[in-house]
Amino acid sequence: MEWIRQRLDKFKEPFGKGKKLEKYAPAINALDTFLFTPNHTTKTGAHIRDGVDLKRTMITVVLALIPALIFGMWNGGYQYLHQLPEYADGVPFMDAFIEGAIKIVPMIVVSYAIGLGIEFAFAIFRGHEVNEGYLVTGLLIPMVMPIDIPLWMVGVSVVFSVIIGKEAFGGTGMNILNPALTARAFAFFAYPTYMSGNTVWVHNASEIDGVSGETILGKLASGTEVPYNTMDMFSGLIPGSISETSTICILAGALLLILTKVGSWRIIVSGFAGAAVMALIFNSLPSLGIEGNDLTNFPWYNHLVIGGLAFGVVFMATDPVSAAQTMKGKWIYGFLIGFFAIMIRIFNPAYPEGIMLAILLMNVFAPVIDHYVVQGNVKKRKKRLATVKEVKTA
Amino acid sequence: MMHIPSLKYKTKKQPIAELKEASVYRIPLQSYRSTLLPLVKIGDQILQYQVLAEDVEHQFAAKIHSPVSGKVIAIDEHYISLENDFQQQKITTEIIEFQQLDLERFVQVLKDFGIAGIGGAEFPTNIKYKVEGSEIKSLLINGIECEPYLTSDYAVMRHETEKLLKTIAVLNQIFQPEEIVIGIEKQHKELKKHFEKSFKNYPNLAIRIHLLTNEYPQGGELQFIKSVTHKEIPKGSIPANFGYLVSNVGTILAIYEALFNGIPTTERVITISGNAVNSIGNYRVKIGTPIRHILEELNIDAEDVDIVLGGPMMGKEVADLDSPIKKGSGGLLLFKKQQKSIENCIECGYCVDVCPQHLMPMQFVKGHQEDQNLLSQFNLDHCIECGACEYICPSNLPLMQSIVLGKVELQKMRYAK
Repeated sequence: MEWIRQRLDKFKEPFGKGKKLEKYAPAINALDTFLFTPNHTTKTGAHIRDGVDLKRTMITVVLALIPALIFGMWNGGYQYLHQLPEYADGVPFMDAFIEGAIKIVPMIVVSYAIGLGIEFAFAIFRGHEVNEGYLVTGLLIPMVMPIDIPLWMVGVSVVFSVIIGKEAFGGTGMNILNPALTARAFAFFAYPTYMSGNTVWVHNASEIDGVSGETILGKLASGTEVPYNTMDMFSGLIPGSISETSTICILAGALLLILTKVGSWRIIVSGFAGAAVMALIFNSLPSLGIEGNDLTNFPWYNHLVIGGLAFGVVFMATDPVSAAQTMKGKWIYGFLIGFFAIMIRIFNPAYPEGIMLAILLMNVFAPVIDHYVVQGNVKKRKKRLATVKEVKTA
Repeated sequence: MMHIPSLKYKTKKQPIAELKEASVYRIPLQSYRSTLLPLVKIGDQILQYQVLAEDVEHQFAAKIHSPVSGKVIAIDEHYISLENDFQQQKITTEIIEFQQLDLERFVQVLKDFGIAGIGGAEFPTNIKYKVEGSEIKSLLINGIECEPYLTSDYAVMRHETEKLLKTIAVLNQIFQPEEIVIGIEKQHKELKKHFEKSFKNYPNLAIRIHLLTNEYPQGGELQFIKSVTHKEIPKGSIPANFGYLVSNVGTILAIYEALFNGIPTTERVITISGNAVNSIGNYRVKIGTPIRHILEELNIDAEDVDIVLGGPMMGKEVADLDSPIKKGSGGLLLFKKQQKSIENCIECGYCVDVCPQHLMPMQFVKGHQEDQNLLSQFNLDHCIECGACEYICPSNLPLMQSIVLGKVELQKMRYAK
């Protein structure tokens, strides 16, 4: 460790204040702070600090994503292989995992390489430090993409999301929209043929005849029969974006986020509640004499476990930067995300993935929610204080 | 509010130990929001317990008395320096007939003996107790020491129980409250039994112990009142106007010394602890004792550590080892140097969750750095500077710095208008 430290210090010399390469110091400092604790400190205020800092927060989110990612790799291979005649009597775990990993690992590499490259470039031009935030975003982007998406599309989406979605607003902490969802929305609207339809969700589906690769939402929208039961949907043995399918793995991640208080449990709980309420409303249409369609009559508990809803609510909606900040605001924000996600899903079958649009929509409205929550609190407080006797100030 | 590892176990079992007298004392002239005016000159011979300085103009800070007899050797704008002659020649004080004490006389006694809030703010107790007409519903004794590490109030409650109750009986006779509540934290619940044993000797007192959660900042006056009575009081008001009289146990002990022994506030109990020292404990020290003297007496090596006067959350870092112990310093803590870097705010809202005043602290950083209008919009005035937001912030934002400087900016803006 001492040796690395010495090497690093020597390497850093030309990047010092007033030296030739000072401009590039942030890039080197980023490497430094990644390996060692930083030595510039805060001076005033509380003399003890909670152990949780930004770095640990980000790493917790990455850990929470791991179950869903591993399942996604396995499921990516499984969905393809189990339809092939040679795997008719079962797919070995490793075969499926490797098949999926071959597709997914390059996506992650591309996402990290391009995204971090841009972050470093911006850090140098702007003269600020590189934050750990991209470690999460960079992993989220491939996880919400279809498995067969070309690597260059992943790259272009990353470029769009980091530059337009994040750096244009001022970098970490300043973005209005969730960067990972910005990337997905970009790909969705720019390359719709790669992001929707019935062939993209299963690896190699278009090349092999007789391979069915439609998502449940796609089937519901087109009115074909759904061959999966609730347990399949819950465990995630269904086609879909890489990591969105397994609600059980996502919930494991959610548990970690809630226990470490990194993700807001208020948003997660209210998000699911909002979706359940909306789905229940649609489910109850027939009893009011309105004949619904397959989507509206799809049981509410199934609505919760299919598509990207769980993944979106747990990992995207809880992104603190783009979410509401106040406690009451978080309840409202989460509830409306779930509510709108199901609404978009049902009213517009062309956009079966309602959760993406619902979160982006609420991202925009989060500051408004906060504003009214704060105003409401101020009003309530004034009223409460007015009821006590007249105030003599010291 | 939030839970912080309290680490009080380090000094909780320790008795209140005495410390040898220093040869030089530096009497602080800054107190509460005012600067005291020296009443002595360089070269003056002074007696123990003589008044050294007073806030003549505003009467907004408690008087300060000499802890020892000796000679004034220097006066500057912050300190009066005294040379101790170790003779302990005391000034004669009249014995107070507390049986016939009425409110007016009692407030005068508090003023003469320089009693101030020992909890940290050093608010003059005579102003707080000047209730004039408002009826006192509850007398609340604040035994909550929510700052981690500190056990000075605990030591007082544990070892000076009888003195506290004697004083409370006098207060009861003066203010005639409907009830008296001693608030203590759940982590010290053994004190409840300890107190209740002594309550038997005071059958006339309507007194009870109220156990409160170990949260920070439970011991802040407004938070304490809210937790005990469920009434919220606006920041900046005097609780007596709402029928509540709140005093720290340390202040009660100071009142005891004044009433029963005729001794002004010249000493207090402090906790010496932290993650960078071994010789730790609770000590009775004189106000004005230089930190250097304490470190030397206890053989503490102060190289390469952060020295904090007060609690770890609200205490101030000491730059000069000759700075003295003040009336409001509950502890002397030594910490290893912190290594934290400042990142961007990610608007996680942790600070909003923990703020005991239900404010949005992250807005104050923005307010201080970018848009000063935010400071008043988000009611910076209501902040009690507890530091909870800074403790929890994962981005290590300079919250306290923004808050303290922001308040100065607010004042400036008001004067400009």
